[in-house]
Amino acid sequence: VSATPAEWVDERVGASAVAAKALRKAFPDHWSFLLGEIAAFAFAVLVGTGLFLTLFYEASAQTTVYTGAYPPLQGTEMSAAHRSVVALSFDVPAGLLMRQTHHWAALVFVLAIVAHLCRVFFTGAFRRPRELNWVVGVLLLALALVNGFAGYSLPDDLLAGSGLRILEGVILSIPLAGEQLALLLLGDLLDREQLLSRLFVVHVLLVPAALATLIAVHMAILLRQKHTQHRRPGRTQRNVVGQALFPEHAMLSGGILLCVGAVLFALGGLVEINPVWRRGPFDGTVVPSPVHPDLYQLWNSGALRLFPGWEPEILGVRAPLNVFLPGVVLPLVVFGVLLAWPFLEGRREPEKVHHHLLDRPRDAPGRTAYGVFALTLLGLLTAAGGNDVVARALHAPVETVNGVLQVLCLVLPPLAALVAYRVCVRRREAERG
Amino acid sequence: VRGLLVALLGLLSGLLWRRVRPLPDPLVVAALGLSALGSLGFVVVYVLGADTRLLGVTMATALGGLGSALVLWVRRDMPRHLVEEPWEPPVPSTEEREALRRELARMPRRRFVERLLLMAGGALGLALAVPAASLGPRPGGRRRRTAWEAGVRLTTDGTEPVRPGDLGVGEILTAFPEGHPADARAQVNLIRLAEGDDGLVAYSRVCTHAGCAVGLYQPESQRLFCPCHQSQFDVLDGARPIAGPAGRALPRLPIESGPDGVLRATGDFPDPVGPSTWERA
Repeated sequence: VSATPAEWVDERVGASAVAAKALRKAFPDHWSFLLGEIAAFAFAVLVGTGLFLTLFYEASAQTTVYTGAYPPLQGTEMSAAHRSVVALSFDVPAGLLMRQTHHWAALVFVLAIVAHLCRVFFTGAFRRPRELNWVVGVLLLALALVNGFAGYSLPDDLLAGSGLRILEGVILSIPLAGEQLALLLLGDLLDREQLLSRLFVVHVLLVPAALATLIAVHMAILLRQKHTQHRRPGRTQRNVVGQALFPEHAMLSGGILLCVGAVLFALGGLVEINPVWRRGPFDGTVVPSPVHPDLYQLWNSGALRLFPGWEPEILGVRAPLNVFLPGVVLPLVVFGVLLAWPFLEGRREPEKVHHHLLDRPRDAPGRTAYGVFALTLLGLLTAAGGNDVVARALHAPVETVNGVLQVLCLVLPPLAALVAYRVCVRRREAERG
Repeated sequence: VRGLLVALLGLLSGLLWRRVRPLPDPLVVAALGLSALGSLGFVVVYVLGADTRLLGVTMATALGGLGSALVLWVRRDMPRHLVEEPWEPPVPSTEEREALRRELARMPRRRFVERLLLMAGGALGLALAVPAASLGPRPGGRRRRTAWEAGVRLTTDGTEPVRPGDLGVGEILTAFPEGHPADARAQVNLIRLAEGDDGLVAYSRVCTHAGCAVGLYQPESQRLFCPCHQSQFDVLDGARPIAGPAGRALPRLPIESGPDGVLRATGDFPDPVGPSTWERA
């Protein structure tokens, strides 16, 4: 007779030996190894709150009249989708809490992924044999951005509509296939019935399923390859030293999961985010001002704002380079370089070395310099995404702010990279005496 | 009643406390108590009208209390203990690789059949991909035409006609083709630059950069602004882009004053409206 349910299961699947070994898995106890976990926890909050929202959201462009608890919109004509989001915010108990927590969790999800990516990049954790997991991680980031955009579009408010029109404009700028692709992906933007149901399926099923699958792959590869570790006494190329999975790491990790949830719910309850009811329902002839996407998409908007209005004629064909280069080529280059990075760096190594101990940023001045270049450019483009806000704050014309930012984009990233390189080399030399 | 409740609670906690040895970390106990209070508070707030702020605070207390209790427990009550695992690069040995190769080699080589298999598989893949075409209608010059044509009257909402006298100098209104209210592709900014019939211009209200509505007008500088990416167009110079990322002028709708005194189009826009595609200039 089995004493506990756990023993009952164990007697049928024989898990004792595996479990005992698994519970002793070593987790490096440096704080930076928790960034990826924070992203995973934000994902858990996204799934939980998202499930709640899914039960109330209506993916339909059918015109209805709002008759809920929010007085300013009483009697306003709007799509069923927008009405369901306004109702979620004012008429469903705890609906606004779930909506806002979901939105905050999306921001934290992307930012934690980027922070985790920076940790892995600047310490060289992506090197052989872990290139594959780097690729999976970059795909996770791309999917997170895609789903962020799809989610941003679902409330069918003025901003969502503007975002979709800009996306259509960007797709139209693709040579030859632009028009066909825009129609295939977005359909006729004026017929939003189809578009909303497609975005809904993309946002709640396709991309989340892909994210969950890739997160599982990310974890499976990590378990197989084990964690990297910083150079410390007792840590070699042939061991992993750290906290045991159980109880120390499980408790710490569970505690942080709950604390991430606490922060997100506090933000969701106290700090307003995406108040769709204030801008009103989508209307193709009205555009709100200012128009800003979510924080993690600002670099895209910034690139579109900063790029000069080049629309030259090439062999009698008008080429909208002003949209194609910043809107299509730049993101492709960014993600292309990210995907290729471990292989670019690996090709410069004479032998097939397996890296297990991590670099400090100063140990690889070249890599650090490239990383600083990319982050500086990203920061400037993000600032450019709010060039109207900057201009208003400085009481300067937008053209002037744009001009300054254009120059900075050309000058500052190489300068920052050079400084980073020099600092790394200097500090390394100082260490060697 | 309240005194009785306090006494009962005191007795209960006293009884519990005596049985707990060694005494637990008071911070952990406090965090767990706070968490339970938060959960209880969440339910109470939900029942009493579900105020968003209080819901957020109570849920954060419930989660944060539990989370910090776990972290505090690890940090304060467990000795720092490191484990060591061996690490080998995940490279298979020659024998392992050979064993896998032997298993794979049990498949007989039939080059011709393999090639046919690839071809048939590829054809199947293509066939399965074709229904994706159902996603969109076929493009067919749809983007090049709008609802405007010669004789179509300008209206403010699809029915209310616009007359030249409706606008003073420096004034602007959004106009739509008659019978097409809120047509996002055909919308125009109608602006009076000067007195007389020649003083009126109508420019497409769809940005040639990324397709937003060019919804802002500054009469002092005679500029139209797009709020999405801050493109600016000079109304006095054929709505040419003068700042920002737009690269093409807003198409101008040819208009005239009709015999009934109502403004009407004399044709469609001469250029495509909205974002540019790669096409013959």
